[in-house]
Amino acid sequence: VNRLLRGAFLAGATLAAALSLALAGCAPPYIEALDKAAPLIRQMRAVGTIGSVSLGNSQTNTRFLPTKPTAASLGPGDVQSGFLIQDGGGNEYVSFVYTDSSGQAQNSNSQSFSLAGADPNFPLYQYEVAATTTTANLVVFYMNPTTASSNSAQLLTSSASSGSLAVTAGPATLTSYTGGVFSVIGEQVVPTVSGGPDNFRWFCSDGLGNFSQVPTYSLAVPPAVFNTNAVAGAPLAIPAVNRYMYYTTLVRGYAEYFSGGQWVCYDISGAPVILGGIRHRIDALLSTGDLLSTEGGAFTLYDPSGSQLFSVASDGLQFCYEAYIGSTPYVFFSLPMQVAHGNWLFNVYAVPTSSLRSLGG
Amino acid sequence: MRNLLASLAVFAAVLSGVPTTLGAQDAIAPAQSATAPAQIASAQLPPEQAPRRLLFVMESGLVSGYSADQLIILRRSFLTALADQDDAPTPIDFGSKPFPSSLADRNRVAQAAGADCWLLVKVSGLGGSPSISVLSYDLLYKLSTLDFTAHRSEGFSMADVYRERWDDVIPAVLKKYPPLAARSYSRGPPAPVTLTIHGVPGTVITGLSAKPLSMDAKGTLAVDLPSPAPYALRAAASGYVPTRASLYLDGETQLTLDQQRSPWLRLDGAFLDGFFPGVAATFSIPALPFFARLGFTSFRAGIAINQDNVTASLPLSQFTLLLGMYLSPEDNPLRWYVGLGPLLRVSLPAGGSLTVDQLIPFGVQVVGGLELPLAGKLRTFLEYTPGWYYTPLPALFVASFGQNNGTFPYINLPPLGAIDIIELRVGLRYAL
Repeated sequence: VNRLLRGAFLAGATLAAALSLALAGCAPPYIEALDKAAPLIRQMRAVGTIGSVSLGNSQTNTRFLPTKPTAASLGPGDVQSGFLIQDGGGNEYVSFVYTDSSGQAQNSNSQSFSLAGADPNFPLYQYEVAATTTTANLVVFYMNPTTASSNSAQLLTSSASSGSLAVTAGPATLTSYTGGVFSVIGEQVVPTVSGGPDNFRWFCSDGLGNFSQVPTYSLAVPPAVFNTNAVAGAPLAIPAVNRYMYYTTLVRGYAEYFSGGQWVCYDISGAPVILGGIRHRIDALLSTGDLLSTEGGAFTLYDPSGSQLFSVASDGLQFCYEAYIGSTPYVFFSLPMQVAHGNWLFNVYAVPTSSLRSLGG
Repeated sequence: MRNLLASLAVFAAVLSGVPTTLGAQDAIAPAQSATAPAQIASAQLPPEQAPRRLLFVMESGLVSGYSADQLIILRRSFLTALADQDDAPTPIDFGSKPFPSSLADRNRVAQAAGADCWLLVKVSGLGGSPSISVLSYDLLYKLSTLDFTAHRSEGFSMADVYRERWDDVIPAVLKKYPPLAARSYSRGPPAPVTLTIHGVPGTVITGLSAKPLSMDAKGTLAVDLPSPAPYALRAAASGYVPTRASLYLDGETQLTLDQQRSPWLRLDGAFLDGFFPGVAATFSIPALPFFARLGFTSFRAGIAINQDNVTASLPLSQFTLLLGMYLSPEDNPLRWYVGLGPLLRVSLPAGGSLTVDQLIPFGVQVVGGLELPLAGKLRTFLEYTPGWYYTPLPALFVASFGQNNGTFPYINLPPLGAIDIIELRVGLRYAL
C-alpha cells in the first residue's frame, strides 16, 4: 500500500510538474530596466507609461521623447504619447507612439533620417520636442559636421491623439545673411513659462572666425522656413569649427566642441574662457543655470561656472528636456523597457529642476 | 533479549494504523521438507527450539566473472559452510532456477518450498574482486533482515573452494535467524504475559488496550497481554516522532521503543513553476504542529516554455516567510500542511545595484502542501502556492505582458495588484 501511495504521489507530482510547466511555465513579471534605474527613479515622479508597442528586435539605440505636457500641474498618466527614435540600416527612424481611444498603444508611420557622414562625437541629428497646445511637435536639426551650410531643420507634427506623423515644415536650410554667409552650427531650445510655445536660439558661424548668436525664434506658428536672420556676426576667439554644442541664458553662454579626444567647453559670456572642469558633452542648459551632461552613460551636472556637482550612472534612464509645468520647471526623463515578445514600454519621469542637484545624493 | 529481537518486528511505520498480523497464509509449518539438506543443527538444539528454514538462492550479478558451473560450486560451498555452523537455519537449496523479482513472489516461492525465510546471494564483479550482494527476508515476522554488499579483494579459489568459510555472509545470517521456540510455529493457546515497555516518560501507547496507556515518570509501562499473539501499537510522546510498531509477542517481557526526537529543522530543495530553483529552511516547534519557513528562490536559471526563449534567466530573487501548520500527525505517511506568509522580491540587474523590485516589490503567498516519505529522513513534497502580488505600477504591470497577450495566469486587480492562481512548488525535504 505504501508503495502504491508513493507511486501515486510521484505520478501526481510528475503530472503536476508537467501541468506547471505547460500552464505556469513562464518567467514571472519582471522588468530589469526598471530595477536598474531604481536608485534614480525613486527620486522622480512617474508621469506616464506609454505602450506596449511591438517593435521587434531588429533596431537598436531606442530612445523616447515624450510629448511636452501642457497641463498646469503634473500627475501620473499626464504623458500619453511621445516620439520614438531608433537606429537601423544606416538610418534613424522617428515615429510617434500614442494611446488610441480604446486605450491601446499605437506606433505611427516612421520618418527616416540618413546617418551618412555622422561624426561619432557629435549628434548628427538633434531632436527637440517643442510645445504647442494642440499638436505634438518634434524639430529635427541636421547638423553636418563637415559642411555647415547644409545644416537644416524640419518640423514633424502629429496629433497627440490620432497618430500619423507628418513633416509640417522644412527641411529648411539654417543659414542667415547678416553681412555675409553665416550657417547655424549650434542650436538650443528654450522652454517658456505657462505653456507658451518654445523658443530656439541659434549659434552661427561664417567659418572665418566670426560668430553670431540669435537670441529668440518662436515656434508659435509652424514655419515654412526656420528664419535665423537677426544678429550681425562678430569675431570670437574660439576655434572656427563647423559644429558646436551651444547654450545660452542670454546672460551666460557656452559653446563646446570635441577636440583632442575630449570635450572643450568655452564660456562665451564675455571674452571666451575655457571651463576646465567640463570634460563631457553638455546636453542641456537648465533654467537654474546648471549644465547637464548625459555622455558616457552618466548624468553629470555642473554649476554655471563649470564645477562638477555630481555624476551618477544613468542606468538606462534617458534625459529628454526641461519643460515648464505652470511656472515650475521640470526635467523630464524617459525609460525605454523591452518586455516580452518584442514589446516595448516607455515610462516618463519628471523631477523639479530645482531638485535636480539632489539626484547626486 | 535475543528472543525479543527475534520475535519483534519494529519498522518505521509508513502505513497508517494497519496492524501487521500473521494471517493464515503466513502460517509456516515446522520443518518437514523432504528436499531439505541434512538438518545438522536441529539435532543439537534443546527440544523446545527449532531451527529456521532458509530458502537459499545464489545468482550471478549483471557483471560476473563466474560461469554457471562455477556458480553451482560456489552455491554448494555456501550450503556446506552454513551447515557447519551451530544453531544454523536449515538450508533449502533453490538450485539454479530463476528467483522471482518481486517480494511477494519471492515469499510465495519460499513458502511453497517450506521455508520460513529466504536468502539471496548475488556474486558480481570480475573474478579477481568479487562483490557479494546479500538480501534476505523473514517470512515469520514479515521483515527485511539483510541488505548489504560485501566486497572482496581476492577472488574465490575454485580449486579448494571447500575451504571457503563465507565469513562475510554466514555470521550475519546466523545472527538474524536463531532457532525459535516451537510454539512460534504451532501457535498454541495464548497465555497472559506481562510486557514492560520502556520509552520516553509520558509516552502514550495506543493499540494494546481499549484506552490509551501512559508511561510513568521513569518511562516504563507494564501491560498484561495474551501471548503468543501479534500486536500493533503507536507510541506518542511530546517532542518525539510518534512510533508505530508491529510485534509478535511470544512470551517476551521487555520491549524498548525506538523513539526519535522531532526534527526542529528541515531543509528543502525545490523547483517553483517553470522550474526555478529554490531552497528553504523550515523551523518547527517540537510538540506543536506549527512551523516557520524561510525560503529563497532564484530566477537566474529556469525553463519558461511560453516565453520568447525556452530558458529564462532573470536577475530576480524571491524571499518568502511562511507561517504554517501541519494538519497530519508526524508519523502519517501523507502529511498535509497549510501556510501563509509574505514574500519580498529583490533584483540585481546587470550593471545595477541590489534593489527591491519596482514592478512587484512584495506579496503574500498561501500554501497548501503534501509531504510523502521517500527514504529515511528524506521526503518529497508538492505545494500549491497561489499568491497575491502587490504592484505600485498596475498599468505597467499589465502592459509588461505585451499587447494582446493577456495576463494569464495572473488575475489583475488594480490598484490592489494581481493574484497568480497557478503556482506549484515541487521538491525534496530533509529533516535534520
